[in-house]
Amino acid sequence: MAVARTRTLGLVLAVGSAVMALRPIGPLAPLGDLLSLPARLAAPLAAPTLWVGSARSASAAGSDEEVYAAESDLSARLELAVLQSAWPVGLTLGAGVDPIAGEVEARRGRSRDIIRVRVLEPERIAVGQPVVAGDVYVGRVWRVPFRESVQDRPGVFERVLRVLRLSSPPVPPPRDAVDVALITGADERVGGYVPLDQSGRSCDLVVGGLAPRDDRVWLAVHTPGSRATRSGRVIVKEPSGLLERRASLAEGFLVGDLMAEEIQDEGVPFTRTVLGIRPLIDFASGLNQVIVLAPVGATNGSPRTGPLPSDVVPVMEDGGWAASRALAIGDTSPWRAVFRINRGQRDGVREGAAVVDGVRFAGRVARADHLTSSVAQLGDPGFLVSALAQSAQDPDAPPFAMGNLVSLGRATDGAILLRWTPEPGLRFPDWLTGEGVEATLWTGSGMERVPRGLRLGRTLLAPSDGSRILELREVANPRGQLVVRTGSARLTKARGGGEQ
Amino acid sequence: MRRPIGYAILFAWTAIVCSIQLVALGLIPYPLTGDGASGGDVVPTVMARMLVPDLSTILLVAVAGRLAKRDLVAIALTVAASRIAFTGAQPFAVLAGTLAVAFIADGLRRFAELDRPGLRVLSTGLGSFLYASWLMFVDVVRSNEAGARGSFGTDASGGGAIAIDAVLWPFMTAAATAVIAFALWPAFRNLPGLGRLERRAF
Repeated sequence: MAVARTRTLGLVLAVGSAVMALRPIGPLAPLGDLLSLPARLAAPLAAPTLWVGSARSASAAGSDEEVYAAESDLSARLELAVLQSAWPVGLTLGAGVDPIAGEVEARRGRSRDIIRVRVLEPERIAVGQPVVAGDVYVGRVWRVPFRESVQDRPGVFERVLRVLRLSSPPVPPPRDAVDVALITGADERVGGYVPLDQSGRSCDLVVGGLAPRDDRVWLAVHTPGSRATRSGRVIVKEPSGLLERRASLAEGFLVGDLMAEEIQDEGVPFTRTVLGIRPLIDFASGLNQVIVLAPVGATNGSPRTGPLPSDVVPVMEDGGWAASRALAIGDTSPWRAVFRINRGQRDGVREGAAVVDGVRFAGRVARADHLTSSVAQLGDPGFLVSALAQSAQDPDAPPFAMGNLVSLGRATDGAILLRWTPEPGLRFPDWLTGEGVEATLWTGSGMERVPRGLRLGRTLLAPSDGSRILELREVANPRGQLVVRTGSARLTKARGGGEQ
Repeated sequence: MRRPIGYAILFAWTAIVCSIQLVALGLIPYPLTGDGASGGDVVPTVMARMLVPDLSTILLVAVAGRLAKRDLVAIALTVAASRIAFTGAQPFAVLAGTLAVAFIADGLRRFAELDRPGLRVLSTGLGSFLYASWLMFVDVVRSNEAGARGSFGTDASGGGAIAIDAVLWPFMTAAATAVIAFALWPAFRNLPGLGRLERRAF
């Protein structure tokens, strides 16, 4: 009888656990934390794993003083270059326009056309304000989440769960977070014109969404004033005083280059002409820093002229980091490259948080238990990271937004292999030419709880149309002095001192 | 107090064998196939690492085969709690996999004692295969879901780069586990301190 009861209990536990493993149920998820509590007791027995392979780690620890100082300086120079790249170069901001800097945080959920931006001076942000990156129009402010009232009306079941601490009230969004709708969105529209087409004529048109091409890169053109216009630079033109008044602040900003292409679909005897705009920036993965154009208010001073070195907050000095150390390196699942640290949810660690050795990116928290966390290393096959490339010869040159890199694992000599698949139409910087240029890779924006400007390593980089394997060296050492991210996204300082 | 101490010792032994497993994995580098230097398609293979036996499965099967059937769930819970410390896999996935292996061992015990060479090889090999396959499956499902949601996750197939190898991994681990189980079964079965978990007839 006892055996039968035990067997039934075991079957229920097994099936329930399997379901929870594949599809976590919110209120029951904390039970997984209970399962992992004893793990802290087993940690000391894993100490030998910290000694194995240490000789194979060829690179010095990122926390070494000299290394840290040098790499922190490069990170600060990269950050300044990123801030400056978001500032208009060929255009002068009008006297009635006040630019508000914002760092791209992440894409919201499944939509690739909505990005979350953390801005300075959120109180001056309004829905509909245009957003630009450099001289290029990017989109508009779509939503300010903090201003939307959060309806919290728990039912009886929810109240019981809250009493049992299996649930909690909804967390309000950060005050400085703004959702931006990119011009690539199907419902987005902005007025534009071509001052000079191939025949020297001008043409008005409307831009928004993506053109019907396989690579989904070109922006779509709607209601062109002339069907004969086939090429030319497209500029934002919004008639002020009509529907979208705020969009007129973006007048004169660039959209892209108008292109026409004849496409013959399979099985169809005739060709169709696709008119589209080749964008000047990579919307998929090239957005790191943007500017929201706000009207100058009565209390504002003169318009700002651009970021200065004093505006840069060093990535490791903005707060939100907790010291930690590795407890065990390795995973009993041999295909994973994971290590465990001695910080968990109790210390404010959340899934996806960056773990750093000096300024070097060591990995992201894959699982945050109550007292400890599992960290997926950069060498974990399948690890995805957004990267910026900085020229080793000229660190102050505009960085190159590479997009996402996928890890293929670690080579025998300790180098990490990353697959880089450039997005179609990616524009390479001037310093990236020839067969290969020495470059330092850094984390880009767009990864939640991973600040921009953490060093990935050094590699040889060359322009490429197709997929390419990069060998990354001088990577982080998980046996070094680690810190784990517990804070929110980092902002730059406003001139005269601003909040972070 | 006898039994709680026994479970604590089982927890410790599981941690020790998992630690030995991690040390063995740490000693094995990642060999490559292909020549990345010449621009060809290089695919780092984890084949050699998959030959490290799953020692915690051997321990689980050996203990489950030795002790009373009504203690099966408690044994599996103890082993799972210790295993969770040595893997980044989801705790519920580890628990489900561990329970499944325990039930397999218990099921095979109905036919004969697991001490028999054939059954020890079958039980540990099958358990290891199912456990590894299950964890890989959970990894892929959770990673695909995370990718669709835009949140952090990694793909056990390496983004497709090592998908072909991935099919063979559980078989290789199972084979290595079965070989070690055949050779070292008595050591696992008679680990000190686990006698406290035996139930006496009178």
